[in-house]
Amino acid sequence: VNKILIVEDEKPISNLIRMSLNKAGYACTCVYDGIAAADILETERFDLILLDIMLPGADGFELMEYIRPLEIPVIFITARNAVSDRVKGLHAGADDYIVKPFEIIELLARVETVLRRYLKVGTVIEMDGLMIDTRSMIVRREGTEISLTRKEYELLLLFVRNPGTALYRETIYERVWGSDYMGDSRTVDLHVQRIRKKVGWENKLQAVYKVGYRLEAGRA
Amino acid sequence: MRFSIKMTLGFIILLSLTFGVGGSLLIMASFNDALSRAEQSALASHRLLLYTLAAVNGGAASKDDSTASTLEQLDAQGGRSWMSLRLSDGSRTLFQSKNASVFNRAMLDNVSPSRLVSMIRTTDSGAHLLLIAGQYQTADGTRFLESAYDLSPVYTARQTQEIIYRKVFAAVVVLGAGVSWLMSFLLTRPLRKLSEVTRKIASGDLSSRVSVGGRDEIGTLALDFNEMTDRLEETITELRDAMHRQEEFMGGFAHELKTPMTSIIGYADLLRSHELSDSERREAANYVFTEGRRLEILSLKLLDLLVMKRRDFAFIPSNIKHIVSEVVRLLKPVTVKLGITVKCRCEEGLCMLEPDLVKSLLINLADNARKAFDSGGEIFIEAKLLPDGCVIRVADNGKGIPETELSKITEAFYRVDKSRSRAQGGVGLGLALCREIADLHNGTISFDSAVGRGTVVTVTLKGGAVPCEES
Repeated sequence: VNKILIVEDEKPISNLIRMSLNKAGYACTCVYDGIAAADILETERFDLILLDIMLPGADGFELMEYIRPLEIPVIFITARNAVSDRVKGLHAGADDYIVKPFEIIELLARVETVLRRYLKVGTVIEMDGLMIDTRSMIVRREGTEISLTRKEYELLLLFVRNPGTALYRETIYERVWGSDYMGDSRTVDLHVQRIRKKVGWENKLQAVYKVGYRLEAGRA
Repeated sequence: MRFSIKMTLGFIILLSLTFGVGGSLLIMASFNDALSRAEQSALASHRLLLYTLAAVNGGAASKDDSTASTLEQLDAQGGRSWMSLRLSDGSRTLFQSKNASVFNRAMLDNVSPSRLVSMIRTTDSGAHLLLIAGQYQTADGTRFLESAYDLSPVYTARQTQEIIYRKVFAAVVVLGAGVSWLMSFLLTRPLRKLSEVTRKIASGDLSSRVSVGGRDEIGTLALDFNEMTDRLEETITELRDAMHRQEEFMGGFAHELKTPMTSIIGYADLLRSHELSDSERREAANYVFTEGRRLEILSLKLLDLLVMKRRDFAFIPSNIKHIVSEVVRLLKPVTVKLGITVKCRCEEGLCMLEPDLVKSLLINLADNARKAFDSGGEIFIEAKLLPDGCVIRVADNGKGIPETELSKITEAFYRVDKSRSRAQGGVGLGLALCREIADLHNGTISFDSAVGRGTVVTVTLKGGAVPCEES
């Protein structure tokens, strides 16, 4: 289990991130100011830090100086969306940058990407007899390779990464097709149906009435 | 064309005209005078000679020969004033001296006993001669005497004068041109400086100023110009500041919106996408609710601020004591719950103000005061009347504000302790609102605080004197 440190002084947001990451199977610790973050880093080892820039005590950039030698990946969380701020954050050594307001699913995707980059998440995901190698982008069932189109693969990955989550059609569309959902639900439905058949998840990929789809079962 | 060249040319033209015309007139007058004097003297000498001859020859028999010899003697003498003489009887020449060829016999036709005839003749050699003819009677008949006088010295004098005059003229024009050019250069130098500075200012360097002394028109212009630039710089700086404040406000506002928005969207998404336990669901829903409330408070405060900017409030005579007691009554439920005592000492009397705004100001200040306590404390509200307004003081013995923060606390969205303020439901607009209200009453708001001892906020409102009531 990956351990994530959340450094965010806004309690509601900190709590929100913690709840969402817990649901996705991560272990989280929350601290609410820069000094506490530095203190906890002395004693505990984390796989990833989510760091707010505007913090009481020591701000995110100051804290970065402290974190860099520890070689822990960092994702900045901030309300400021100026390009100069983003550049400054990345220069300071952040691995990614997420701007408030953000959607949880986006945060999860970024967390997973960064963790994968640091090989802290296995590159092979196993779920219900299905083996997905995210490096070679190959899906196997009991040793047999299943051929999927690019979009089908991405859709499958989205479900696998968010098990037990009711994914709304617009969310799916935005994530996989990368543009705003225009009410064209057929695309999503069609692809979900094809995945179901190809990987044999007719019962696992459940339709949620008026919402979208949900992958039953937890992560193996 | 440059101004200095224009001025120089104008000066040269003026100089040439006056000097040329004046000089020429002077030379002409002097020449005419000299000429007429030479003529008069020649005529007088001719007349003298004529009378002498007439007197000598009068009545008696012909003495032409003796006359001729007399004339010859006279002519041969040094010191004679004429150049040439001729005596004739109209057709026959009785005597003639050298150079008699200059005489013109036609002149004799116009001669009468009482009248001399004179004319000026220019000879081929360039000499100017005055020819005079006269007549007198002898026993033998009419005798004509002609004489020629040399006027050349008069003409030569004029020529000499003209040569000198031309040299002087040239010198004067050259000197005049030089002086006028120098003068115009010196006169236009401040103007050139002015235009240089104007260009600098136009290209954005607002700190440039003209350094032109003197109390003349150009000096005044420079002073006016500098004053104008001062105003301009002031206005532009003010505009920039206002823009900067606006941007900061917008930035703060966006930040204040984003945080609750993130929470609301996130928790709502959590609620709709996941199977949550009862306690989790309640927690998420609670966050949606409280963050929503926070947005509501923010929007209300923002609305208050916007309304304040309209600045069309009417001040009415209000009893400050009543306003304070009402605020205390409004706050009672909160203060009682938190174990805070509120004390008041207010003067009774009327002053001009907008009662709703002042109430809002007092509520904000009292609310800030109660947030300064971790547990119970004391808030002291004091109001005093001024001739044209009132002073309200709100003091608490809470935790106080660090001195370094005092200057920033009336900025919108600024909070000394962000997480504490959030926990207490603050959005960072209260004191910005208070300052706005004080401004509206032509007043001030000041803070006096010591960490650990408490804060005193002094608000001076100057809504004007209460008009005397008509009985």
